[in-house]
Amino acid sequence: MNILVLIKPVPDPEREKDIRIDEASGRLVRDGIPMVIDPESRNALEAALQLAEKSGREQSCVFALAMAPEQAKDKLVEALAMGADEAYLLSDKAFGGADTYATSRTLAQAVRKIEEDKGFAFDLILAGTSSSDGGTSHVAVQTAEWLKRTHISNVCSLDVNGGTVTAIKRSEEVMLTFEGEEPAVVGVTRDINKPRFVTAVGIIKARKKPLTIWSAEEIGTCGDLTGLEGSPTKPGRLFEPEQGRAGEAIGDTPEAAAAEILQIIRKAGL
Amino acid sequence: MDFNFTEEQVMLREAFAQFAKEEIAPHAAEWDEKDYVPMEIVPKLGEMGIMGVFVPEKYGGVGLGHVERCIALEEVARYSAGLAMMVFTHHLGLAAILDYGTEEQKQKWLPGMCDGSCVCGLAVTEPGGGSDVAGLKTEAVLDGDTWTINGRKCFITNSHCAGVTVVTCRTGEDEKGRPIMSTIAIEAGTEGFKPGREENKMGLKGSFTGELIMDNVKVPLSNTVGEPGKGMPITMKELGEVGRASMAAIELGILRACLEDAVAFAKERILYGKPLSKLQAIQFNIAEIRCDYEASRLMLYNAAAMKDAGKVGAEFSMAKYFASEAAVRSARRLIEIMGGYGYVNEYPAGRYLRDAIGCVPSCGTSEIQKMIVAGETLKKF
Amino acid sequence: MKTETVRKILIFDQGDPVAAQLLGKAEEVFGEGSGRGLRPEYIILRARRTYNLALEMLDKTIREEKPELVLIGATALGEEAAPALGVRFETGVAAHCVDIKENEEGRLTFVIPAFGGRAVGEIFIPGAAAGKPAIATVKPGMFPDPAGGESADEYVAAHCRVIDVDAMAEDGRIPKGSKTQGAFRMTGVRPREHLSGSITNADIIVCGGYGLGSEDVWNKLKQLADRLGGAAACTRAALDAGWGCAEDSMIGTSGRAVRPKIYIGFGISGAAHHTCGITGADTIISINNDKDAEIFAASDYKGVFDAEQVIDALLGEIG
Repeated sequence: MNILVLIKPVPDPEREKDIRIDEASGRLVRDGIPMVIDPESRNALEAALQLAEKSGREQSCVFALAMAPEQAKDKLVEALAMGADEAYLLSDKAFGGADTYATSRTLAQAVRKIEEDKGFAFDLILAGTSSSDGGTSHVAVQTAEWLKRTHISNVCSLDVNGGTVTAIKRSEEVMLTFEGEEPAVVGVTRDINKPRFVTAVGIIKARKKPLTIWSAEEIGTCGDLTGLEGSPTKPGRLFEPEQGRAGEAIGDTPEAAAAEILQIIRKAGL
Repeated sequence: MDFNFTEEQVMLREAFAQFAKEEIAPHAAEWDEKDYVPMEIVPKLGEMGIMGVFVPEKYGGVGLGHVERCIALEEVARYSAGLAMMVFTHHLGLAAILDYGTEEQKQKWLPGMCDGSCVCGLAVTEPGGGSDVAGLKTEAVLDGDTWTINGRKCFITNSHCAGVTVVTCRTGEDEKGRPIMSTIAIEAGTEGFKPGREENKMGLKGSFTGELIMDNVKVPLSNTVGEPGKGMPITMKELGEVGRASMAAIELGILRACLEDAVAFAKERILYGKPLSKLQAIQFNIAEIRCDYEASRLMLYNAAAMKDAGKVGAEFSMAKYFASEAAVRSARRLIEIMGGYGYVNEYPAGRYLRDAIGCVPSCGTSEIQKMIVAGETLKKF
Repeated sequence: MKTETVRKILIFDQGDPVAAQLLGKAEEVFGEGSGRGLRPEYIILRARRTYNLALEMLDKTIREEKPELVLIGATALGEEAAPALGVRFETGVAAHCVDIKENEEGRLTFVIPAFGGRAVGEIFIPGAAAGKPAIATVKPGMFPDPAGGESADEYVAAHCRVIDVDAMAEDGRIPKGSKTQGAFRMTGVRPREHLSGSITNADIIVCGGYGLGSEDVWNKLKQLADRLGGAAACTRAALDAGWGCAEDSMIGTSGRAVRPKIYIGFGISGAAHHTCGITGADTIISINNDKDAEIFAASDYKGVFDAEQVIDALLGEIG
């Protein structure tokens, strides 16, 4: 089974509170916040590895693909250390400022190129549904649309049998079971699995695994199809969310605070 | 000159740190409180590559060096110095087999030691003393191809869990009447070989420390690790390099715990309407801990890098001496920064202090380290 | 796209109140509320029971009706349909809008959480036009239900043209066996386990953050929510802590937006990606032992206390 995993490097979500907006420039300041593999990307990679192991690890391949600045290369090395067989990094100034439309278009272009180079098609493309930074839940679905493959996201349980992909997702009130055919693109959620640890042996093995870096030109795309220029959405101002409430202090002791809280609840007629 | 870790070492540290955070941190307080040895985590440590990090790949290890080994120990000790003691002693015995053992011994024991199915131990100390080699009484007598061993070892880490223990035994005397020692590997379950008393320690819980009793234990001559008669140099080399490096790494883990907890507490705790961290008296303490941590870190990794390059002198003794005293100082400072919170067992500060004190005598007290450092210094300068 | 150029708005109705909420918002921006005089035409595409046809029918309706704007609830289905339509119609999608408005230049402006909600950003979809619509998704509950006592369906009926896919499927206007290209087929439905005390409808929400510190305190918090007749909710950090918080009880950009009458937060720092989800609460009470916790700036009432102590006190008071 041949699986491709879309990996998104993001600023460490545990350090999100350190991100600030610079008032003068209106830009986001994230100095000193390390990049990590987006948590759901990690789940996607784990799901891919499990499926590959189930269908025979030797006969399967798991590739990782990311679009990110070249400094993020070590995140792909980490994906290789976790168990991916080969990794591809799309890195070019031209990709900068891409929205999900342009990002997915670029990723899809790279998928076509990998498939062409390797002479096979991926049975499955896996990704996280919602990254910790952008969180749009778009990229898996949109990559599928560009490739004209079937798609589903928000998947919390996944299985493949004889070319049929069975996925379960949680809706607001129900668990929904879905079926689709390979080749498919699936966006997973964090509760699909617990990603394995990167081990020392994995890190050593990653040394010898291929990691390819491609520019826009190398995957056959260019400025107006990618990056900010190729994005139908354009960013405007950034600001911190308004949170104008009174913030009146309650109680001098935990007990007094508890009593006041109950008072507020009663006043609201509940 | 470059003081940076390689990209791969950084990644390795992140991997070990992630593991420690998820698999060790949540349980460390409970292991300490219940004096519980978490044997169930050993295969996971094997899978992570921590048990055999410096063992060549052909014996099931990762094939890295002592810098990486120290990184692993530091990350484990960050959350549980007690568990790190188990790992370090395992490395110690394993190193003796790796460095001096026969090909047959390596093939027989190392793969299991790397994958975490077999914990290794090293037993030197006896009731009569540890550093006083002449006082060691455990004796091995060779009859044909078989050693018969009698004696008693004490304060032995992994006493109750090791699958293989490398034991230093008196195997004769030289012409001046000084003991000749040999190191002999004994497998758990060998008749007459059993753990004795398990110590109730002040700290470093999460690993066994106890007695080993040898009552007419018969093992084949082929279990001798290294040349017969060379037991003392073998033991001293492993204790001096692997042992002291490990202790310094564990102390470094404790130091980092002190540093991180001190900073977190000082930022969170509000006093006189502002965080503790705004008070200069607190800042001074934090600066002291930071300096102790950084100095220990440089001394340790410098020594480890030197060992990997094959030219280590008294550096491990210096690192071990400095880091063990620094860890005790810093744990005490942390407790002082935290005030009442530092003294209650709800917070780990007290455990750090108990663990740090336990590290001081392990692998040679500070006095022993200073003797070694002085010895080299008097020759060199 | 200039707001004044929006003549036709397609709203997707999946069977929850979000369609009425979206319509209410649209009315505010484009309708009588805007003082523009010319109200756009609203089309409701109703597919409440025909899940597998939804994307295809949205696709078809956009081709036929050529709206300038498509509004979709950010539900499990909507979150998938919107980006797919974005690629199909070569247009931009604004995800999880917290506001839709006209800016000072008269441009249609979508306000979306960015960088985990640390910031909110404006985005524009300048290339949008009839048949190449701007697409926006909005979490259920982000905008209020339309006022005036009408039920959601009455409100929709009074203002919109409805394309009823359910009815079309039932009376055979859509051939049996039709399916959506590109999407998986739904083959089974079963109720979810954790339905009791759902945070969507609760009047009181008791929410726990990472500052609860332990599973024990989280369990106490759940007990408190039960005793108050409310629902227990959590932040992403609390969910990740592995205390057994249910994922569907997570509030924030990656979880849900809620509009309870009373929200009580314990041990929550107030990262914007969480507070984005509670702005619709009538009253916000926050307890955190960090007096500088950001959550306090988003709260009506604040108490600088240890979360567990106040929970214990509340449990004690209720008896």
